Amino acid sequence: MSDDVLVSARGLEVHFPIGRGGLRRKPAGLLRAVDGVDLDVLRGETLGLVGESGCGKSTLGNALLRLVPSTGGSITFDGTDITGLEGRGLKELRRRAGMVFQDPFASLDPRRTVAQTVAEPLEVHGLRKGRDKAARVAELLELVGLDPAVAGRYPHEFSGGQRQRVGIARALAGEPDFLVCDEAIASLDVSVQAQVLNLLRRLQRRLGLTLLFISHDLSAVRHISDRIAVMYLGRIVEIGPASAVGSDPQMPYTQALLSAVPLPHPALERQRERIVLRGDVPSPAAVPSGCRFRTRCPYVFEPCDDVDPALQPAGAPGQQAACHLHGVVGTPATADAEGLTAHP
Amino acid sequence: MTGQPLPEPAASPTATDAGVPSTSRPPRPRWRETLGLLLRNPTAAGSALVLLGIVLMAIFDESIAPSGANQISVEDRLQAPSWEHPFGTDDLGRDILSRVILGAGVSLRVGFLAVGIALLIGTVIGLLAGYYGRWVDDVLMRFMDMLFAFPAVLLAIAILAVRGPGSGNTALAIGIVYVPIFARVTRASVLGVREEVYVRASRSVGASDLRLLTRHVLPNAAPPIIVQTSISLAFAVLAEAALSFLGLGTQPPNPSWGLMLAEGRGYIDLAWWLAFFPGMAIFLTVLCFNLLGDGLRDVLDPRQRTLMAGGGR
Repeated sequence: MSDDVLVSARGLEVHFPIGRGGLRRKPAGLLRAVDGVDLDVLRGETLGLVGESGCGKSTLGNALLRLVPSTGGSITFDGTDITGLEGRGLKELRRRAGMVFQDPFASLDPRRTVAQTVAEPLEVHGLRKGRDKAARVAELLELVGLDPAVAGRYPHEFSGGQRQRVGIARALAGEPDFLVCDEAIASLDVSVQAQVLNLLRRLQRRLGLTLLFISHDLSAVRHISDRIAVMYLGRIVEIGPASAVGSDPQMPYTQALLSAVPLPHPALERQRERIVLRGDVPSPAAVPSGCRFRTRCPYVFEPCDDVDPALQPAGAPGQQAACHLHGVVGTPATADAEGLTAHP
Repeated sequence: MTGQPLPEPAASPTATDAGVPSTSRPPRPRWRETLGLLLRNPTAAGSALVLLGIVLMAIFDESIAPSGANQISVEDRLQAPSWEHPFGTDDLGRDILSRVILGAGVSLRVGFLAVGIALLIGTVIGLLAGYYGRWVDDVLMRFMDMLFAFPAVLLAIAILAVRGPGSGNTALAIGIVYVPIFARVTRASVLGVREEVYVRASRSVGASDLRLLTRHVLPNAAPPIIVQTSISLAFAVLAEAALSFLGLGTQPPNPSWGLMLAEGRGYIDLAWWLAFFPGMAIFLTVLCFNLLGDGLRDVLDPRQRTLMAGGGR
């Protein structure tokens, strides 16, 4: 593994048992929220993670921070395997990797003041005490663009954007290297979204943060990211430089996703060709065999039924797509699918 | 009013959403806001006032009571209420008013002690069961169900039969009987709170379980527990009365409202005041605890609170 990878996942799986109940508590099925993800987040980059609701992007973000237990694969943080980390090591990971949550109305304890909330990481990790702590809280509030005088106020006295700033200040208090923003702007007003987005970008540059920006909003992701990863049904189906993925996607799903983004210019907007996908996302409890996108793909052909496509180079340098249109590479679902040859 | 979010200074194009009007008044602590709202409710405020009076009466009983609890005066026995004996006298010529005043201490002490025991043990059990779930929940709550399955009075009688009568043991017995109630209420509340994003957020910055439980889960799960406490105080006073009535609680000649009620029973058609005044004391205390509990429930419900705060000005 190279030095410039900060966080990396190999074959990461998060499966949830479903239909658990009764005395025996035997799972009736398995929900594959994250199903074999390989991902490298480079030091200092902003990686955008997009996908529709329920594709597992939030679960992936949580699993990378060990906030959701993974059921398979491994996670590495700064060269250390953190898959089974416990105790002291896990606590240190919590300091070095933070999270900004989606709903700023739910993510702040209503019974604690802004200062108490922002100071929590400082107290937990014993970083600052007494006067130093108050000074650091003021510094953090200023860093996210809040007046330090509001430290004694309660969350319900703030607007959504202000609360999200408090959430960001809390996530930054432990001086983390890595920040996961889980739909961090999704529940904000559009005018405030841009402000928070720019704040995140500014902080990322200033503090040298590595950012995983999870969103279903492709335009926001394109705006902030260096690279973009596209997720579908628990798997990364395309990844590459933001400019490449955002303008010349190599995977039919990304193409459809991109075609759904409205264009600001009316003339262009009228000309915009939309790829409308048929059907719904299959349930993550019943993932299709072969390519998991084949039930909705407009280009579906023979190998898609049997061979689970792996990421392979496609399009621009550094761009990868999991699609047989670029050559059949992947794991055959059954033994008799071995005879398949590469598609030209 | 602190109930509404601050307006966003969105007018100027360069303004961030970060500016907060600098007319910064010191924030009112939450409990003071709660108390203020509570006292604006006339029923709750009245109840609180009466209870305060009863508690003060119980504390200064010796100096208030016109005569001693066991001052026997055979020639004054079974006197109807009069200026000399406002609540009358009992079969031994003891002043009922004095005994009601002196009995308040016994009844309330047992009530507070019992609820204190139940609150402490029940809340810890409920907190652990609700937060950790799985087998911790199973083991603890099945044990609570076992306690629950006994009829309350029967269980209290059994405990008193083992430990012997007396007000200390009565409090212990009632306390044990009430543990599962507090465990259930706490667990239910914790189940909701532990899924809150702010709990997850605190975990994500590395907060320990102990910290999560004491700083985030318990404070946010507290309102139903507080309400349950006030209601249980009422029931505990009643239970003390019932157990004393059965002869297992406070032992004669010590005054306790329940015991006086029991003693007065035999004279009910001859001298109604023997049972009436201690009965009224129990009634008033229980009623006030219940009304205060209702008021607290309203004030501690965030939605009600917003309505009250908004409508009150």
